[in-house]
Order: sequence, then structure tokens, then C-alpha cells
Amino acid sequence: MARFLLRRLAQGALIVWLVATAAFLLLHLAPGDPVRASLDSPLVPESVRAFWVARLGLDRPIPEQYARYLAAAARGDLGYSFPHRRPVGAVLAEAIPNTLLLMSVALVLSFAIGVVLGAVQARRHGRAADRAIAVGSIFFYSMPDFWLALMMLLVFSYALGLFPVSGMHDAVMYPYLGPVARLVDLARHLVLPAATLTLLSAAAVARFQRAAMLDVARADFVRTARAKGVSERAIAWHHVLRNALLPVITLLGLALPALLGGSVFVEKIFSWPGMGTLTVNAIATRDYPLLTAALIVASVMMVVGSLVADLLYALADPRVRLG
Amino acid sequence: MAPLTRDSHATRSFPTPRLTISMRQRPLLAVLLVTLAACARGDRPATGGTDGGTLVISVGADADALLPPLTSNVTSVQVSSLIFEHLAEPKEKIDAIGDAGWTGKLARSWHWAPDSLSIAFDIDPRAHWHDGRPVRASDVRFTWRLYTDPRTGSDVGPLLANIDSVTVRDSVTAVFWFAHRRPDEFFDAAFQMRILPEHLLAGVPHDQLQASDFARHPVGSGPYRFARWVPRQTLELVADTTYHLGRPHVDRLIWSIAGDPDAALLRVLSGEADMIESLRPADIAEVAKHHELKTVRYPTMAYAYLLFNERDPGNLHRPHPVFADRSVRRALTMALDRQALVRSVFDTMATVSVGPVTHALATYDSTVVQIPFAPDSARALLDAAGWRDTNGDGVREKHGRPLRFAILVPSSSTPRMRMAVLMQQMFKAVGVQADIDQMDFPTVNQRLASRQFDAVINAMVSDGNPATVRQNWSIPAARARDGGNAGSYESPTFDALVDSASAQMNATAAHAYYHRAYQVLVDDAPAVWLYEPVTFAAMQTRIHPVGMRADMWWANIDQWYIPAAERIARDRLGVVDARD
Repeated sequence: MARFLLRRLAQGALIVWLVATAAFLLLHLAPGDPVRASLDSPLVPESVRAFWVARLGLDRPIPEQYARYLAAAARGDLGYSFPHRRPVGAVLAEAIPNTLLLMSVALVLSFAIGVVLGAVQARRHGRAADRAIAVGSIFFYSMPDFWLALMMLLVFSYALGLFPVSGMHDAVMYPYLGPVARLVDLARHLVLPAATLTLLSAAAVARFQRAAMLDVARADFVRTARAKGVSERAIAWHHVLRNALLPVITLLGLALPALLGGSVFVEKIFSWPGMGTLTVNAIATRDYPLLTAALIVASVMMVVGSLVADLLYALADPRVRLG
Repeated sequence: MAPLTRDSHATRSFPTPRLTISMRQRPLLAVLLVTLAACARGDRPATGGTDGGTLVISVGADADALLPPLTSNVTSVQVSSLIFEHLAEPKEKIDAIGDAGWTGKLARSWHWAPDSLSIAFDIDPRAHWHDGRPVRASDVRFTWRLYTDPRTGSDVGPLLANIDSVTVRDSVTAVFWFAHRRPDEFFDAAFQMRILPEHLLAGVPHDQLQASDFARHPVGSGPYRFARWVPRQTLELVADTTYHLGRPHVDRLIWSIAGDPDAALLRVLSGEADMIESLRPADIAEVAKHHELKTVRYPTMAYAYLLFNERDPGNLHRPHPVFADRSVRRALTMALDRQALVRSVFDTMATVSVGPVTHALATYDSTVVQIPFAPDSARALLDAAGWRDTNGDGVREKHGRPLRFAILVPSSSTPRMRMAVLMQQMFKAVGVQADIDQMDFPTVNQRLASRQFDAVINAMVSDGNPATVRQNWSIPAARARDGGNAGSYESPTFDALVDSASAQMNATAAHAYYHRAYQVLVDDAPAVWLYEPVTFAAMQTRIHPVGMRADMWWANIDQWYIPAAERIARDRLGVVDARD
């Protein structure tokens, strides 16, 4: 187990380094730089831009910038975001909890709902409930996230006025609210973006779960259990569902990076101050250090996600041996 | 030459004599104090407004730093300019020539030296920092030093080159000394810098200012003091009830930071925010559907133009095969019906631009003779220049090279994209093929800086000083590496006229030189002057704006008010800071 973990961590470190290197080099090949993107007024004297370019080391050869970046990153210094006028670490530290909150709520809800719906479909295979859920899940599965987000926004916020249109807190009242009222305020702002993500993901999870359960239901051990007189309910929940969770665990591992990567469109449409919008804005402002750091975070989460999936796999399936 | 107006501005000061007050006299004292406070408000024009209320401004981008020498985006500028003050400000239009039409802010008066090489500013003795310390002349000297220190990296610093030094005559008198006698001395001294507190910033190394705590928790002397900043969410200022020019009417200003312009508008339409500073043409109809909203028109300092590159982007040492020829540039200008272009894209939300100047500038001149829309003349000029359609494909050629070029357009700007498409059609009508090259803003900026373009639809925002026209059209700016004259237009006549205008201490004479300079520029057609947008803000009807200036619509926001009868729940928070 320890050897497995060490090997996977070494592989993970290699992947993260490759991602950081590719991101660094590709971003520096793109036209523009963070100083020119921020100080874009033609009235800004070129000497001032040159000062900041030199100050940030952007005038140095790319290999030198790369070496400096790696050395600093190894010390935990992810650089300085010129558009934000702050260290990248501080900017990320504000965005990550926001994304983590939104994505974890959406992830938990989508897997909980998806697994239950998939199980119900498999149990009611071929019946009206199965068909109704299938139609609903295909409807949401095939829907573009930005469109669903816009519809949710227009219907539930703009037309019906049930929820705030965007943001994470009430801009005016939040500082004056008590702890409970703050929580309620946060929940009201969270409903629409989380519901959008949940609807999109739960549909996919339900389809995976249904297919997996139907596969497992035809397995020999299920037939044996049935022959031994085990009740259908017990077969479904204790034998079929547990074994059918394996593909869903893989799906969960793949979904984990989104916990910190965020959802670009949903965050953008609901003005959720998370990693998704941060990354998009970093592209627009050529904020190399922030963008590289965001990609490093995403790659770390990918590595961690696949590792967690493997560990959960071993936990769920005794036949799997790690090592 | 005679110096500019002396003692041109004076306001009364309110000395605070020591008084011994008995208990019985205290109610009387209270009445007196209220009366005195009301008198103090007399420094500003009365608006009839009452104190109280909250104004939520919806914006599409967060601030960067709240330190005036280092702010670059519009939200930062708005917020920091309400926390920190200039020595003086224009009442309405900016005129950088002299001090006519300016009113004191931190300075209550100023005095020119007989030789016009120094100006002494008297700091209003009532002015104080938000931590209670008085504003002193030494703060002014400190501010100048900070702005001009290269380690600060301020984009304003290089513009202060004519200020030789700042000295402190006494605790409330700061004297600016100038290297050369120029008409924009007052503008440089009074308006380029916002005064900073020496006692709070003296210990911060100038190269660390940007990342300093002060840049995120500023302490100024303006009408509003900093309350809180939740990055990418909210920025809040509260009224300084002891502001030396009188308490601002609106209790608190909140910038509600949305992710983009669409989300920002939606917050206003849904009532979560009170105003958005700028509407796109397509938004006007949507706003009109909301009876609780109104649109407010205000002038702007922006103008847009189609810039021709007079150097070959493939080899900048060579002239451009099309645009180096003045007659071709004039012909291309004649091919464009600018009135129709502006009407089609903006309806009534823009006017045709007349040159590198807008209505809001004192040097605006509608008498500059424009190149007319004349497609037949354009064809004749192109024929005469040797560009003829010899193969009948509808595109003119000269020495085998088709009359074809690319118009660079930022893809995020819908008006500019639409304008490019319409121009394409108009150019086609005279046998010119224009391709549209869409790029994102940073790439457009990069291509402009490296001069890798044929033509570009560019926009400019004037800083109010007509002399800055040099930065974009002068020969030095064309020849300097990365200079601001991206089209490489060169005219010694234009440069000489601007130099003459810049040397005039008499406003009328300066304006006459600028008129001639603009005429040369228009005649040479280094660009087609396209449009000057008219800006519309959308705001709740309960908001009563006062004096929205072209350079800073928020400049008089301390005089805006919300009538008591029209207030809603969020207006009743008062000025108590959430942290208190």
C-alpha cells in the first residue's frame, strides 16, 4: 500500500510538473502580457509599462523566467498577480473556498440524487418510472450548462424574484446580519448555481448508475443470491448497488478536480467569485502567474482525484489489490 | 507675458475660537453648531438634498488597488477618488489651460507667482484625514515625491516632469515650482495628483506600495471613508460626516461587483443595485420597461477612430503600400458616410467625432473643416493615385497589388464590430477590399504596440489636457520604440502647432493654435474620426444625481441625494460602519 502511494505520488508530481511547464511555456507564447493588459490606456507612458515589466521579470528570457518560477513555486511562492495587485496565493486563497463550497454542494447532491435515480430506474427497468426518469435525465444531460444557468436565472431570479440574481452575499445587508441570517443569505445565493450544476451532473450519474446496475443484475452472483431465496430488495441494495457503484466511483474521481477548478459558465453567469471566473479573467488579462497556478491546482486535484478513486475502488471491491 | 489669474479662488475659513460654555448655554451651543455646520456646507452649491440613503453601484469588474498613484481600472479610480482628493477640481468642463473654472478641494485658495513659475496652494485648515489628523502642506510635498519616484511605478509620475519641486512655506501652504512656464502648470499641480497622508505612508517603501495594506485599507481626506472590501464581491464607503466641505448626502456607497457587464445590468434591473454607469445601445429598451428606473445622459471624454498604419507592418522601415499616401487616406475617408455609420450603430447614443477631442474639452472645435462623404471624389482620388480596377474584379490594383487591407477590431466590442462590417460595405463601393480581423483586447493592444496592423478601430479617453494629443500623433511618439503614435503619422506642422499651443499662457491664443493643429490632422487623415459616444447611466428614480462630469461622472456624488420620502429599506442603514 505504501509503495503504491509513493509510486502514485511520484507519478502525480511528474504530471503536475509537466502541466506547469506546458502551461508556463504556452502562456508565454501568447501575445500580450499582464502589464500591457492592465495598463492598456494609450495615455500610460511606455516607461511605466517597461518599469513594471522589468519589476515582474517579464523582460527576461523565457528559460530564465521558467527557472525562477519553478524555484519560487518550490518554496510555495506562486508569483504576483499584477491585475489583482496581490500575490497569487492570496487571490487563490479567496477563490478556492468559494468554489469548494459551490462544487462540493453540487457534487454531493448530484451523486446522491443520481445514484438514487439510477437505482430506481434499474429497479423499475422498462416501466413508466424508468422511462420518465430516462427522458428527464437525457433532457438535462444534453443541455448546455450556460443555457440552463441562464434559464434558471431568468425564471427564478428575474421573473419570479425567488432568489438573488447573482453573487454570493447580499452586497448591502450582509455585514449587518447575524450568523443564522448570514447562513440563510448564503444559502439563497447558493441555490441556483448549485441546482444548475446538480441537475446537469445528476443526470449523468443516474445514467451511469442505471447502466451499471443493469449490468450487475445479470451477473452470476445475483442469480445465485436469487436462487438462495434472498429478497429482491436485499439483492438490489446489498448485492447489485454495491457492485454497481464501481463505475460511479470512477466518475466521482474524475469529478473531484472540478471541486477546485469550478465551473466556468455557471460561475460566470451567477457571478460566483470562484476559480472558474478567476481563470477566465486571468486569460483575458494575460495573468500568467495566476493562470499557471490555477492549472497547477487543477492538475493536483486531478492527481488526487484519481488516487482517491483508486482507493475507494479498493475499498468497494475486495478483489482489487493496491501495490 | 502676463501671468495667469492671481488669487483667482478664495473661500472663507471658519476659525474655531476657544469658548467656555456653561451648562445652561449648551442647548444654545447646539443650535449654533448646527447653524455653523449648515454654513460650512455653503462651500458647495446647494442641491436641496437631504442626508441619508444608500447607493449601490453595479460594476462589471473589481478594483485593483485603492492607491491613486497605482490605480488603473475604472472601479479603483472611482473608489479611490472619493477617498482621496485633488487640490482643486474643474467645476464642469476640464480646461487644462490656466485655472479659470476651477474650484478648490483640499486647497481653499492659490496664488501665482508674478513670473508664473510657482503656485502656492493654501490648504483648507479644516481638512483632515479620516483618522482625525489634519491635512498639512507637507502631505502635498510627500505626495509629489511619491508620485515622481520611479520606484513607485505610477503612470502619472512621468506627466509631472514640469514640476521642479514642491516646498512647504508653512503648515498649510505648499508651493509648486515649475521648470518651464507652461499653461498646464495648474492642471499638473492641482489635478494630476490626489494628496496622500505622509504620516501613514512615510514608512512604506515606494516599491512596496502596491502590495501594502494601505492600498487595500486606505485612509484619505475625501467625502467618503473606506469601510470594507470583499474582493470580487463588494466595496463599501461610508460618508465622512465631518468632511471639511460638508457632509455628503448619501450615507454609503456600495460597489456591487458582478462578473461581467450582463450580470451587472441584471442586478440593476432586478433592483439589487441602484445604478449602472454605462448602458449599451441594446440595453436602453430593456431599462425603459422598468418604471422604477430612469436613464441619465452625461458627456464623455472618449472618442473612436479608424487608425491607418503608415508603416508597412511587414517591415516597419518601409512605408505602408496603401496608407503612406495621403491622398489615398483622404479618399478612404471620403468613402465613409460617418453620419450613417454612427446612426446605424448607435442611433442617438453617439455623435460623429471631429478629431482627437471631445465636446467635454475646452478645446473642442466644431469649426474644424471635415473631409466630406463623397464617394465619387474618393474614386477620382484613387484613380489619380494609380489605384484602378484593371481586371474587373471590383477591387482596384496598383502595380499588381490589390487595394486590400485588414481592419483590426477587438472582438468583445459589438459596436466596433458592427461599424467594421458597415465600413467594409462602404469601402467595397469604391473598389476597396477591407477584411475584418477580430482579436481579443490584449492581442489588439499587442498588435497596436508592435504596429502589426493595417488599420484598427481604436478608442481613446482624453485625460483632459489637450497637450496629451502629442502622445498619439507627434513625431517623437511615432519614432520612439513602443511610442503611442501607433499609426506612425508624422507632421512637423502639427507638432509645431501643438508646441505653440502648449506654450501659450493665454487660453484664447492656445485654443487658436489647437484649432489649426486639429485642422492639419483632419486634412492629413491619419485616421477617420468616427464617433464620440454619449453615455447613458441607468438608475433608480429615487436617486437624484447632481453634475455628472465627463471625466468623472461620480465627481460630485457627495451632492447626490435620495429624498426621505422615496427611501427603501437599504437606505435606512445610516453611516454606522459594520465593523463598529
